[in-house]
Amino acid sequence: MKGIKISSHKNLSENTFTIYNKPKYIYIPLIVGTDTDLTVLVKKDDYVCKGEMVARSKGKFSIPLHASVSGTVIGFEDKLYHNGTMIKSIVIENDFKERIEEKQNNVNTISSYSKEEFLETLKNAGILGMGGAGFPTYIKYETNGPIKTLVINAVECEPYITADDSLGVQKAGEILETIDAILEIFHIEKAIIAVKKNHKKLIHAFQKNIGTYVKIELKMVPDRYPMGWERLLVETVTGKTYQNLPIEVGVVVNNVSTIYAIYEALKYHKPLIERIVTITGDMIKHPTNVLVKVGTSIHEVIEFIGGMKRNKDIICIAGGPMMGVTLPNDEVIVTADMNALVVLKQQEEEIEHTCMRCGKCVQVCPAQIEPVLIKDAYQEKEALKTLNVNRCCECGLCSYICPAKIKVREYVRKAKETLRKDDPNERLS
Amino acid sequence: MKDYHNLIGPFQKSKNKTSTMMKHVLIALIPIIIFSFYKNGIVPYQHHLVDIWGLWYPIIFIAIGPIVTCLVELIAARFFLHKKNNDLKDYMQHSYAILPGLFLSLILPIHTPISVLIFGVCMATIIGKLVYGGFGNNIFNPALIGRLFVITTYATVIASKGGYLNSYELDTISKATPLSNVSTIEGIGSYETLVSPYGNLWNFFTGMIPGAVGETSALLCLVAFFYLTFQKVIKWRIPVFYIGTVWILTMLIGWLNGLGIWYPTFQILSGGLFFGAIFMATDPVTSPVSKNAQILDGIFLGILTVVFRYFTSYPEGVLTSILTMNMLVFVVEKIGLQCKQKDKRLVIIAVILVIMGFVAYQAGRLYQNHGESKDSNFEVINVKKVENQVIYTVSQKGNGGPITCEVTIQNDKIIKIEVIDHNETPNYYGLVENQHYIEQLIKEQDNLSELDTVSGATISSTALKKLAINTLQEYEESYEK
Amino acid sequence: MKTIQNGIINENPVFVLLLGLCSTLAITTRFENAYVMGICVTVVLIVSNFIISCIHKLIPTSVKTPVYIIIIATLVTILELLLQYYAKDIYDVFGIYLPLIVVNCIILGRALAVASKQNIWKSTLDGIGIGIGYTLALMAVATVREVLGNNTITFMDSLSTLTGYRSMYRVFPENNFIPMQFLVSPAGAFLVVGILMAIFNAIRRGGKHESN
Repeated sequence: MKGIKISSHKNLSENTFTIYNKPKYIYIPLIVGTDTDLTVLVKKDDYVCKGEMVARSKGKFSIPLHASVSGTVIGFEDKLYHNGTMIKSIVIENDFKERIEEKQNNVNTISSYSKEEFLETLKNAGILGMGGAGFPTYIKYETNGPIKTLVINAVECEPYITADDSLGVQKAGEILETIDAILEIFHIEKAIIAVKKNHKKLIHAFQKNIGTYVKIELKMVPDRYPMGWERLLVETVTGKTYQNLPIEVGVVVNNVSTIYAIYEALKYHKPLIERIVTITGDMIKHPTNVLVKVGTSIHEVIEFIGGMKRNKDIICIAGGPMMGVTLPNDEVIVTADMNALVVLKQQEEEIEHTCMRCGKCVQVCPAQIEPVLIKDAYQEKEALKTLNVNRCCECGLCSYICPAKIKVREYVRKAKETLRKDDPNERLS
Repeated sequence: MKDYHNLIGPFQKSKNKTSTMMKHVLIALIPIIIFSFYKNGIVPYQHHLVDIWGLWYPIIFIAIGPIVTCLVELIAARFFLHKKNNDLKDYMQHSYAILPGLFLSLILPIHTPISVLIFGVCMATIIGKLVYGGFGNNIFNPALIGRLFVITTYATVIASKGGYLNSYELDTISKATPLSNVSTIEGIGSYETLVSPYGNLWNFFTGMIPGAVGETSALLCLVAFFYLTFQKVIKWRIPVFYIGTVWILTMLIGWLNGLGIWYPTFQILSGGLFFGAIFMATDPVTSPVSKNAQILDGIFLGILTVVFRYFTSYPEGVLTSILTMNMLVFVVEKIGLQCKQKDKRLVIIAVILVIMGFVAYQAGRLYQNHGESKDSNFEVINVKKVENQVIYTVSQKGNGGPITCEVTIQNDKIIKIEVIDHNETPNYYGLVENQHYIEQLIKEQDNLSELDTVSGATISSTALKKLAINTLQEYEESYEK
Repeated sequence: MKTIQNGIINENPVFVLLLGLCSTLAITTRFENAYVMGICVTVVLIVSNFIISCIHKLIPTSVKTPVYIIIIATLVTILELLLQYYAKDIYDVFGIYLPLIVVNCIILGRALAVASKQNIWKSTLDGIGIGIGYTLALMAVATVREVLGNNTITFMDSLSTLTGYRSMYRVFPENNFIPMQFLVSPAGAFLVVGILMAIFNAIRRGGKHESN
């Protein structure tokens, strides 16, 4: 059995979400994935409508960024992005009018889109992977080979995060409708929704509506981390293994929140301008999931839901505690690929002891590589070539389980650096 | 707000700690220590073979090992590594010096003099551990290094003080440890010759047989194994495949010689195999980390142990196999990595099966011819015919060299055996004389193979017995055609 | 004077330069063997260094090594014949290790490194220093091996045919001390040389780290 059970702390934030949609200022960080070289389509003092494209990336994929409110561009500022660095951002002052460019009619049957129209809509709406990966969704569907299975990732294996869960509970009907539409548009044989077997409310929400959909199956996966990792999920749910991308075995994996964003894009022509963020942790007074507009500063949202228990001796983590990044303060901007902010008590720095080669990291690794051997050879390129370093998904289980408290994942990251150093074109799988 | 930028995650950690794992190992050893106290202290005391000092001696013996190890490490840390105060305390807490010392005490014979034990402990700590850089960096199992030094240097001293047998066993059991007994048996042996002198197989399983201080009880080792596997502290594949391989190979060997299932069970329950497999081979620092490599490690250990037990007369099979595989861990890891690919896996499995089959076949065949061939330790020096008597001057290899005797046969029966020359240790030979063993030989010459040997002088008396058997056989072949 | 000291401590052939280990391990089972071997090697070293430093300018570079070997072999053969006549017992004890002095890395090594580069006086001094260092090292190893491994120390036994004097002692009382016989075996030799090397270098460096 791959992966292990870790404490999930998901009971802190219930299966519901509140809405915070009146931010005074919206900040759009000019970054798509790791690419900060974008074409900016607005300048200071421009008026923008809600949903208007304000920037797009250069190059083949051309991913757009949209304004999530209507208002005036008052300038550019460096704001904290969820990878921990300061990124130049467009600052828009909200006029609270929610004005959109032109009203379009809702589409009645979203399965009436053709393949090309579907891809075009997704591309223009800027739909990307909302589970944290941020990969542009339309590229997954832009394939010549046939898609045999659509896997919907509603697992959300990171501790503390309940964003997908709360959305799924509320909007199960719409999500199922969208899945059915995608199955029709792309002639996919079946869809599997993967849910953790202990998320009772979510299972119930889907089961209530799933009866009419013959091709959609609800599969329950064990409560283990990192079950939401694409490779492990595809193997658990379909039994297939692949080299680099799931499309090799005819599988497309989408996060359940992304599916809902696709729904809104197909039905209401709405670009990706809002999402649910889980704000939780031991140091938050009332942990909740909040539906916010993309570009809101988390600081306001925390104030909105009741604030923190105390301001000192805390750490703010963007994402979950296993794979997240610490931030210098809580004024981070919500972007489409940020799903949570976890505020924990400051932990004591643990001293690393000598590795006793107990082999626990090897036992828990979901990618089935040997972190301890990589740690021993992290500077030797030749030795690393036999150790499959690039299969590592950086889930953090090796550092989690180590009894000597060695930061094993960091060594694997350094090993990846070593391999990449002389080979800038080497592909990371 | 403080700047906590760039702390390294993950921020949720398991509660595992190295010290917890070591604690579990110590807890698993407690029943074994108590049993050793019972077997080597209480039982002899109950039979009034030792005084109160002898009652508590096993506990003291077991305690000295870890205490001296800690002292040696403390001295090394303080004076050679120049660690002070908190640094020193942290170093000592994390060097886990207790375990090698404890293991070493448990695998030495009870009659090891305390000075030799201390010597062994120093060698184990210094050459087995500190020279490589302390805890976590050693290549060889330190306890086994200590035992290696003690056995190579002081084997005769320990043997002369009684060796592995404690006072009770010296009194009741007339032979040496089960594996030394095997080496005195001609051919592959039978249930009566291999197992019966010590009771039955249940005695082997519970551990009431001669052996080192703590390594005899397979039952308690199994209990410890299940406890440690449940606590996820031990690399369980290694002992499972080690013991399994030895069982399969010895079963094949026994089957080739027509022996039943008791034979492989006897083999795995003797020689301290369970203790070695469960505690020594699974020492985390000196064993492989990946799953396939652990399986291979276990299998190779099993093959090596069987090779050492059958093809050599070297007594320390388990110790040498574990030390050899310690040396080869990096090779096994590499092979284990290759094992992940399906086609290479099949090749490796095929090679292993071929090796195992080969070893089993050769070992089995060793004994099939043995019955017919002559004893190579027996030599006929002279034959003299005087009237109706035939006087043989023969020699048989004893403990210290050949024992030369003059055997007079009249009317197809031995009537006199006169020992002309021997190199046996006077103490032992005196026992033979006291028991009037030669008279017993002449009296029981029709049933010589059933005759008991003299307890405490096993090898000398066995030599005399074999001398009589071989002389009779020689006489039969020459004169009764 | 400094050259001699250098040969004993900083460039001790056995413990620092790790040359001539073959004979070190094999010969040091008795103290007497050790110092006699040391003297033999020293004599050959001094004479060969002297000769080679005298004539090295006359030898073309392409035939350097064979010529040095011829010189050393000649010296060793002379030594062998002398020992065979005057001290037959030692000759028998040394066995093959006497002719092996020819290829003892110390002599050829110093010839190539020092004798062919320095002047006559320095080369000879170097020979003396290295020779003394080698002898002292061998004596140290032999002492440990013989005293702890055999409980005796032999100052003069096989040479008694030459000097007519015999001197062998038992070191520790027999009842209290059991000799560790594995030290007399080759495995023990490696162990003793290793440990003495570690101690020697630790004292020499005085705790400072030195890159190799």
